[in-house]
Amino acid sequence: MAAKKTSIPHHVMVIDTNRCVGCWSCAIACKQVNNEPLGYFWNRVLTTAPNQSTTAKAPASNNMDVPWGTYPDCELAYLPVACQQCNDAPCVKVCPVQATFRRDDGTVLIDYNRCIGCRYCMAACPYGVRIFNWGDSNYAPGGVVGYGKEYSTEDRLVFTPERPKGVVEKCTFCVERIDVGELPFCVEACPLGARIFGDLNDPDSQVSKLVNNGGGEQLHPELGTDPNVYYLPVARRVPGES
Amino acid sequence: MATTTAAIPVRATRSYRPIWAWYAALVVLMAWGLAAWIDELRYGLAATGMRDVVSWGMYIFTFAFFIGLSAGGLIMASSAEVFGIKALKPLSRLGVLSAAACVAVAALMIIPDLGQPFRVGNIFIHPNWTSPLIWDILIITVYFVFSIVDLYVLQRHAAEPSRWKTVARVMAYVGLPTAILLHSVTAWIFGLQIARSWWNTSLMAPLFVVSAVLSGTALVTLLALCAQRFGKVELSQETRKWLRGFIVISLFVDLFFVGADYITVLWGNVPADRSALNLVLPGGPWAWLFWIEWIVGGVIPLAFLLVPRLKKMPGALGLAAFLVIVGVYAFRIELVVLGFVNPLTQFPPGNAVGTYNVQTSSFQLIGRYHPTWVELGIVIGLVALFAALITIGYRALHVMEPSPAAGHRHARMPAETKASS
Amino acid sequence: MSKFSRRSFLGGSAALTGGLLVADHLRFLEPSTGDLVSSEEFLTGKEVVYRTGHSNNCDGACGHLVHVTDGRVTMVGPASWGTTTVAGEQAPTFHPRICLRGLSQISNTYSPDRIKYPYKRVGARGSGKWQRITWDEATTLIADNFKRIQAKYGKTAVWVAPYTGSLAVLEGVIGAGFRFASVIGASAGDSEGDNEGDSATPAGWNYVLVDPTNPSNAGGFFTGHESVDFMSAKTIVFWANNVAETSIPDWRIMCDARDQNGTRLISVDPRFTVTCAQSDEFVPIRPGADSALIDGIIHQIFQNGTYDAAYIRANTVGPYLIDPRDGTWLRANKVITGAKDDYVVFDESDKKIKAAGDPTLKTPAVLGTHVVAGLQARTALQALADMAAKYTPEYTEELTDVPAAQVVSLGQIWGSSKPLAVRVGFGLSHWYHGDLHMQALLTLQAITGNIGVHGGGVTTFAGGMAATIAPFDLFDFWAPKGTKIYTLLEPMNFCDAVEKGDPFPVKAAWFPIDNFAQQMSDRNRIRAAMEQLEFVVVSDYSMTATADLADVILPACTYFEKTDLLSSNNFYLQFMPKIIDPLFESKSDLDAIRMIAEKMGYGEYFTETPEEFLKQIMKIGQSDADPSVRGLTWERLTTEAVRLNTDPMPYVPFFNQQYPTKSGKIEFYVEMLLPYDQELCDHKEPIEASPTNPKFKQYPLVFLSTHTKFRTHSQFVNLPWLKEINNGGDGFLEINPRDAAPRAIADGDVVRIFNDRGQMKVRARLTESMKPGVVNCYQGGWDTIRVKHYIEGHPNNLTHQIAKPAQSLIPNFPSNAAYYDVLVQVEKSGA
Repeated sequence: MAAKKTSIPHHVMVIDTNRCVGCWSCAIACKQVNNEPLGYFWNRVLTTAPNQSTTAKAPASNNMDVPWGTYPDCELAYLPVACQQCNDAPCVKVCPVQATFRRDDGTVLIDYNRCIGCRYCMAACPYGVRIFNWGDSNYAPGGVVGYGKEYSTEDRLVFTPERPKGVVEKCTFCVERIDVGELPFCVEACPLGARIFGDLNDPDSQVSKLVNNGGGEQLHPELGTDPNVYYLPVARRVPGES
Repeated sequence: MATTTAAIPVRATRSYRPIWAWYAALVVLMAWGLAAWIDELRYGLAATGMRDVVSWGMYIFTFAFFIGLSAGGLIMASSAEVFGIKALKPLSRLGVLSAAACVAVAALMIIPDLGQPFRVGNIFIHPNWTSPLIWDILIITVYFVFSIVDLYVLQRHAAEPSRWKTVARVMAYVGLPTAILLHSVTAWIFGLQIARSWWNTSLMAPLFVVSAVLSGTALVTLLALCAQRFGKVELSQETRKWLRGFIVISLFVDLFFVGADYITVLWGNVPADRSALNLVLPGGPWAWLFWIEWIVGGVIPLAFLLVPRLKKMPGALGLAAFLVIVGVYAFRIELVVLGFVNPLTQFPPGNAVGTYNVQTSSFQLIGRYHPTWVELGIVIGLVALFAALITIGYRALHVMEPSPAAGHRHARMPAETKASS
Repeated sequence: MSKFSRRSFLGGSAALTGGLLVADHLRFLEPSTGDLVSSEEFLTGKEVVYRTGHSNNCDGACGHLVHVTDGRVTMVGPASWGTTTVAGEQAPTFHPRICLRGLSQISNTYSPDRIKYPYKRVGARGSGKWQRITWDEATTLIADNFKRIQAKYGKTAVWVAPYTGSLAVLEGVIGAGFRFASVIGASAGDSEGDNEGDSATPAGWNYVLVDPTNPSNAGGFFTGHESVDFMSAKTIVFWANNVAETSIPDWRIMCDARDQNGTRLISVDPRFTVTCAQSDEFVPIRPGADSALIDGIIHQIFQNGTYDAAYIRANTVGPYLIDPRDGTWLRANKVITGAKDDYVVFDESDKKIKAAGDPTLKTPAVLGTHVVAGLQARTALQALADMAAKYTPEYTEELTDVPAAQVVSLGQIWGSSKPLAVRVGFGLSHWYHGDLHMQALLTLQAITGNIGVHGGGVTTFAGGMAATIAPFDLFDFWAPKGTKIYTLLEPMNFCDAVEKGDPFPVKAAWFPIDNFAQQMSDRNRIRAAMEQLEFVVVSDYSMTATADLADVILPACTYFEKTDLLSSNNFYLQFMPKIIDPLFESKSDLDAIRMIAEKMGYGEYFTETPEEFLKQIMKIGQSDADPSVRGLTWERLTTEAVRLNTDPMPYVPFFNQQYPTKSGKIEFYVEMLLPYDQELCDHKEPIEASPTNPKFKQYPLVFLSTHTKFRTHSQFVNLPWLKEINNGGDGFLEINPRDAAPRAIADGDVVRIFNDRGQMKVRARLTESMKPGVVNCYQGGWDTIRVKHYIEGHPNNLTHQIAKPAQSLIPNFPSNAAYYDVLVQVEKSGA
């Protein structure tokens, strides 16, 4: 008998690095919908070797888009990284005031009204995905953009268009959008269709199929953080096969 | 030496012009620190040199430093009682005073590090018991209260030794593990974090404890030598020997621990672990920390503590104590900062930094940090506070006055003591 | 599958460089940038969402959902597409699309760089001294000066040059600027915007597939396969096309083909781009050697016998016999008694020479030399085979640097993997012999039976002019009744016109959304020519290098602020409503044109509203509307993105195998190119960037200036979101370490790039993505008085305007700026 879809979803995102071209559209989409100041990237795209592992020569320059290897035998891939929304999140464990908390659907959120700005969560995060509001922020021209309003869940203020000075912020899986049935904006914006979002508890969802078939891998699985973000690996076909 | 129960010869505290100059200087520094903090409140933590990659800086490593000094002071003071080291007993109260002042300053050091300091009450309303920060706040509170009580007890004990002997003993037995626990919990703030391999070692608590003993004892030594210089008390050779011994042994153990950690990482040669170590080894961008820890705070003080010709030089002990403290401070910097400078990911463009400046990149592969005047101001202000607390406490409580308590005979009365009778 | 262990996430090497040493100085605060605004106002008003198309110089033509609250645009996201055609047929699935630039559009529209008011120059040209004036004053100035100059030097002395800054119908590269030019009798630049580097390959396309002398071909056109058609391909070859970076949403379709259908992806490029990284095979070709490689593959096709004889017979001039005396086609009426004027073939079934239209013809021979009236006449295919005979794998390797074994393998694939689609970028057109490269590609695709079939073809624009021009009646729009069409003066001829009056003097120019003085090649020459103009008008929304040289600046609108229509290469019509009021005093180009026309006495031609113009152009409601839009109502057009009617669907040009050539067939043998020695695609070395060039010793590096995902030519260049992920907006030179090392250039060093025409300076970025001997500096960055993205100069200081005579055969694509056909030297610079 097929597993029944339970009422509380388990939100996961799957990112296909086999087709991510490092265009940063997801990162810019995130900046827009969350009204992020300059210098802040909840989501960023790293230039890597395929599957972050290679014996080829290191890039000649420590900049984006510079490949590994020696021309013409080069290798290049990309890895978008935002909050991994860990099921066993170190940040949740260390926050002294429980401002960072995990919701039942798997999203890890920050209560902007409670955060004291100690930044222990930033020290504890193995992925370096948390941003701190160090001071007055500079924004791109145009005024408040994106969702533009406050949003609370479980009585906690988890989104506000201008985060106060002295609190930490990070990707929220676009909690204010997914709670009304929309997709996270990076998923909607990705021009490659490289991001898939859905409910792991639903066996018919695309994410279920991808994750449960063993196709998705987590970052730093050895740390046991059990992220809700999975990556489909780069798979290059051997030339000559039809 | 007076062994009677005559009234304690209390030396009149002289009105001493230099002391007012001292206080005035401290007040200026504290005022500067306060002004710096007000500026920081206005501009936010952007006024510091911290950014998203190196998100903890001077406040945190100085906090850890002061916790270590505090724990060490109490460990030394309690050890004197617990292990019956008579030569160190005259320094007990000074040690506890130092511990209390250090931990108070350490606790205050955290406040300017908070982005939302006025929400600090949330810690008490919504504590998260899985967080080592909460454990640390708990132990700091307990410890501070304990050290105040201990100071009181020892004051009473100095006045009425026999009556307070047992209580003093009990305090020492409680104090020693409490102090060890204090710095272990502080160590666990870092050591339990799986995110950063530079921190994530079981060695962290033992290493912190031994460096606490090292720096705390050195601090008490320095304070005692200052008392000797300005307060007209004198340390006996026996006391000096024990102090020297504590410092030498804890320095050796400290360097041994650090060295063992280096060897483990070097031999294993796992790139993720090596990349942090490479930053600090000679040739790396933070190698100056290496030299300070091992030479300035290691080989040189050892020389002044062990080499007979150097040992005899006047000020050798004081110099060694001072250098050791510098070395431990360098270690705190190395611990905290390198944990952040070493990239979590070595793929470009790295981490976003969290502020925008047209002239520099919004990303860093390798973290960059140097403190700003704001951070220096606040830290120096708090150090000045520490100095003020010690000076006031020392003078008000006469923590090194000779007393009828056991061990007093090791402190020689200055020639000009006016005995009141 | 590999695990993402801590080790691998952190990187395979511990090669760390740099790092802060001791505090360099103690500073109080991070200096803040100034510029920027933040609104404390959260969005509390009512939100309205509009659908529009992104017309900023990109043929991706994404559909945008634009959120507006309280009259301010607050969010831009991808819009979905209508699911049926004009006629009601089910359209192929087409995903919503957007990229980082569309997502940044808000900061483009609201940029502090916006030109807010009209200005007139008060200092020397280019000195940056301006005086704010009113629109009335500005338009009067313009009208008066245009009238004066036209009276003094002739009507065509005013040159109107709208360009691809906007691709929308009314105000872009097919827009009202041309109507204005016609109405006032002026000359005008390049409609459809190809002749600054994008017309060589279209010219080549026309040589083979279109008869340019036939008036019904309107001077030549250019089209391609619809993007989703690539799903049918067994193999896709990206020839000089960095799709994954320059046409990002189209790469999705290629990935779908790969993942769902097992399509093989091959990328031919001198640079190892992200497209190459994601392809199954990378072909590292020497820049400009494309026709040599293609000839090498053609050689393999003949060697392996994998040419498609049936297809060649049916659809190409392959069987037609060539007169050995002069290379022209043998004419049947000259060599066969009683025959009409026709091509001549050899029928294999009865071994007779016949006219091509002979009803008894069964099997025309595709190969061989046949005796006709005493002449040894080869078939065109035989001529091709003979030409290709010298392109052995070894010789091809010599010319192209592609390993011989790979040439053989490519030949094998091309002959056996069908259908095979070629997607070719304009990178191929940035060469003097770009036309020849395209001709060669079409030749290869023709002999392998890949033209006019699903999953085949040679495509640059997915749809090309079939989607962007055909649906509209542009001729009546450009030359309204009572007026004559403007006189054409291509951008490549601008300098001669200004400097020498050849073909006629030009003394004034108007550049509406055209960054001519920066983006055109041989920039130093262009700027010198601009100095000689008496009057320059620039309409733009940002202060470009061209605006720097203006006499009058008119503030223009961005696409949120005006009504227009976008018809794009994805075959959808996207109505573009006016979403917000024009910012500051900006006006749409149409409004500006109207004001000036009125003052020149031609206001009667501009009384229509944008909606009225669009209805006229599309012949809404009229029975003689183009079949692609016939029956479309205004209501429908303005409520959803409507897919054009196409046949077939997905669109494949020449699906019916009817070619608008003289012969009605694919003419890979191009008789009209005989005078240019290009009747076949025999490789020719680049005009400049060739090792055979004597200048090569002095300037041994090929200089490319390719597109980057962070910009769209010179738009989006100064936006903070995009600059902070693009090296702070600073340009850099991509150079291989093997070229950098002998020049003692380390990563980050300032270098000087120079040749006889000019120089520039930027920092070097060492990368193995560059083929040794080739360097690249991304184009589009600004070199203006206020803003410089290169330390000194601009890539176009190094490019040239050497025009290829053969292209003059195609009226619509007569000249081409060969941006990549350039040699330079690079040296470390002190400063």
